Amino acid sequence: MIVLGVFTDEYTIYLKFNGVANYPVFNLFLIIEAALLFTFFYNILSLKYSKIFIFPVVGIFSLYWLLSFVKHGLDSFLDFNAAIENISIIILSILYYYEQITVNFNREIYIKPRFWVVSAYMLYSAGTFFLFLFIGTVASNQQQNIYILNYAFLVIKSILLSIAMLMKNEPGIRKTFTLT
Amino acid sequence: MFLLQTNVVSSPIFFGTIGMFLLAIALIIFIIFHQRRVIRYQVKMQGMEAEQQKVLLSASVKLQEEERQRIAADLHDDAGPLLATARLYLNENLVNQDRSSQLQSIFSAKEIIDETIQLIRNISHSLMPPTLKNFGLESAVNDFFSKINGSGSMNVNCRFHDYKIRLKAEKELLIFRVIQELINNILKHSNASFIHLTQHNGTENMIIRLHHDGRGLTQEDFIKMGKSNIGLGLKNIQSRLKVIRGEILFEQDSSQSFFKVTIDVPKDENER
Repeated sequence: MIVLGVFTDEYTIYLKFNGVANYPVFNLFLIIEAALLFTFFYNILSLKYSKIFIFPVVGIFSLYWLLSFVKHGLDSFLDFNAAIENISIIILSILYYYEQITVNFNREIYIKPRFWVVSAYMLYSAGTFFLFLFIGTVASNQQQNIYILNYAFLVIKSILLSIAMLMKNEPGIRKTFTLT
Repeated sequence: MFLLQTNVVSSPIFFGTIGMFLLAIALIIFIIFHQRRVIRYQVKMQGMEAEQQKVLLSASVKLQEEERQRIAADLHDDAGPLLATARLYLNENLVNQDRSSQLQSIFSAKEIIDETIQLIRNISHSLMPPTLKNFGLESAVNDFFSKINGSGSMNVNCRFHDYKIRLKAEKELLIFRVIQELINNILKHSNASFIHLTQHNGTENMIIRLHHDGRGLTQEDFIKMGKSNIGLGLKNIQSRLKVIRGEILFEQDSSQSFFKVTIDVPKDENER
């Protein structure tokens, strides 16, 4: 996901310098990122109801993205889609945290790398939620200035993801042996 | 600085963004601290449970040792001298004695050996009452109560309402031992004038309730004594009930004139 993010950023800058519209690339990145994140949450959530919750979220988001992409996908950034993705990630993150405080009593939550990954996306999504929701209402000369906030949250997200990557993987369930 | 130079800081988006970000941070911090507190509480509870298990285990071991010592003492002090006496009667000189002395010695030896047999039977019965083994808990409790009544010092009675399907033998023995221990405690400490035992059958459990009018324990006293080093008998009750997943409740009657002890024992599938 990080590699994909870096590639998208670099490629969109390259397109901008060459005078080509980079919105379609951003919009495609949006759906791929959402798909990867929903898959990630599907894997880390352990309660059945939490997993079931992901399916309607994915369905609604995909449908809305498809309609928006067909309509405006080539000439503008689908900021409202990004806001929906953000609120979905915030809800899924809260579900993950809820599971951790109700089910997991064995180890501290911050020992797990996935906690840092979830926190990274939670903070980024919470930080950029209002940004993507209302950027369309701001005058276009002000948009670049406000968009700086997005970069600030990208830095925070990258730091937290780096922490997750530097951490050791969670040990698997220890095998038990029966003495015979 | 750049943000301050522009009017981004004054825009509602900026406040909304910062607000959401701070809320998210607050949520994460809350989750971390809450989970740490829960883990600490769990560890504390596990420690307390382990300590309780240790106390119960040591009480159980102590009881076993006491039982062994009692059996050893019975065998050594009672059966040993009796057999030694019987041996004296049947020594080598017996062949040189006249016929009437021989018959007398054999008769005495036979009497002593009979006495020894009875003694060993008593020891064996104290380990596993034959009434309990052959006729079940109801008969064993009735038998036990009639012996106490026989002494004339206390009015003891019991009533089993529905005990057609017997519990497993090991379970019956453990319940019987718990009842014995409770009755012993009442006899020793409560100064009661009567004890009344009732049994009721539930679909999934069996309830045994003891009433007495002497000085008794409340659940708080029982828990307190279970954690302290005194009250070995109570710890044994606890450890025995733990084996059969039973529960015990000590309480005072609402009229404040009786004490009640309720034993709740879950039944297995084939005991229902």
